[in-house]
Amino acid sequence: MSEKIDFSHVRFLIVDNNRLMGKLVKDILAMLGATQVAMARDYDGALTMLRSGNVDVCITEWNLKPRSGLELLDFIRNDATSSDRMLPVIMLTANSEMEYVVESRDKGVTEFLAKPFTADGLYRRLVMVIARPRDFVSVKGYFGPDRRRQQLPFDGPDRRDSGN
Amino acid sequence: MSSDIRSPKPKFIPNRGDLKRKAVNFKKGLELKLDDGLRDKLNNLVQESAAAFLDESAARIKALREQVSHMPADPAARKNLVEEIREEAFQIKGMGGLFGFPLLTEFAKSLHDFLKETDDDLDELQQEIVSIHVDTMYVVIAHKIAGSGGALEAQLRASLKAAVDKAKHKATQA
Repeated sequence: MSEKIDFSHVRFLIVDNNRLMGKLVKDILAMLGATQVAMARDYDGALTMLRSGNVDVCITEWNLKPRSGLELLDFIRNDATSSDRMLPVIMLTANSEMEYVVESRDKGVTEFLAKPFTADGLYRRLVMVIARPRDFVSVKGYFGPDRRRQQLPFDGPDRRDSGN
Repeated sequence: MSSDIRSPKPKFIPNRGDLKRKAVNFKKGLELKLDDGLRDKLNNLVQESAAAFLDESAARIKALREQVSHMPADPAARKNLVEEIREEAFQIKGMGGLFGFPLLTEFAKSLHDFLKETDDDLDELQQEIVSIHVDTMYVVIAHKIAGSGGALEAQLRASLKAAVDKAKHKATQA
C-alpha cells in the first residue's frame, strides 16, 4: 500500500493581488480535492485570516502592495503574535530570479515556486509541505525550516517556458 | 514591526506532524506522484482560463498603449502610469507562460527588468523603449502567438531588439 494525500481537510490560504491567478490556484486546489480555501488580496487581508488560526498552508505571491509577501512570511515566522510560526508557506511568485529564491529561503519559506508554474510543480510543493514536513531551526538571525534537505531526483519541469 | 524572538543558540524543533496526520493516509486521496489523468485535467483547467487571461490582458495593454502614447505632463500622474506599467509587466511575466504564451512572458520580463532599473520619471528614450515593449506585447496578445521558438517568434524578438536599438541610437545622435 502506498501513501495517499487527502486535501479535503487541509485549510489553504491563497494570497495574490491578481484575481485571475488567485482564482486559478483556488480551482487547481479544488480539483485536487481541497474544500477549504480562503483568499486574500493583500498583506492585511492575509493577516486577518492568519490570526483566525484557521490556516494549514499559506500560498502567497511576493509582489503584494503595499506590504509584500516576504513581509508576510517574516510576520508568520518571527512575530510574537503569529498564531503558527511553523506554518508551511509556499512562495508562488513571478519574482523568479535567484536573488528572490535566496531571500525567501533566508526568511524561512517552506517552498518556492516561480511563475509561470506548472500544475505538476505546484502539486509537488503541496506534497512536500504536507507529506514531507521539515523540522525547524531557531538560530540567531533565522527561524524557519531546516535548510538541509534531501535532494530527490525529479525528471519533469517545475516551470513553464519563461523565455529565460 | 516584527520582534526578534529567535534563539541565541541553534535549536532544532521537530515538526509537529499534525498536518501530515490530518492529510496523509493509506486509504483515501491522491497518490503522492501526480498521475497522468489528473495532470491532463489540471492542464485543461489552466487552459480554460487562457481566454480570460488574453481578454483581460488585451484590454489593459490596449489602455496602456493609449496612455503611453500621451504621457501625462504631471509628474505624479507619470509616476502612477509607470508604476501601472511595471505592475502589468510583472503580472504578465508570471502568467503568459502559464497560459501557453511564453513569448509574452519573455517580453514582459524584458520590460519589467528594464523598469526595475529606471526611476519613475522616464526620459524620452525610456518612454520610447517602454512604448515599443507595450506595442510588441500587444501584437503577441492580439494575434494569440502561443509559441516561442518558431520563425514568427524569432521575427518579433528581432523586431523588438531592433526597435530598442534604434531608439537608443537616435538618443545618442540627439
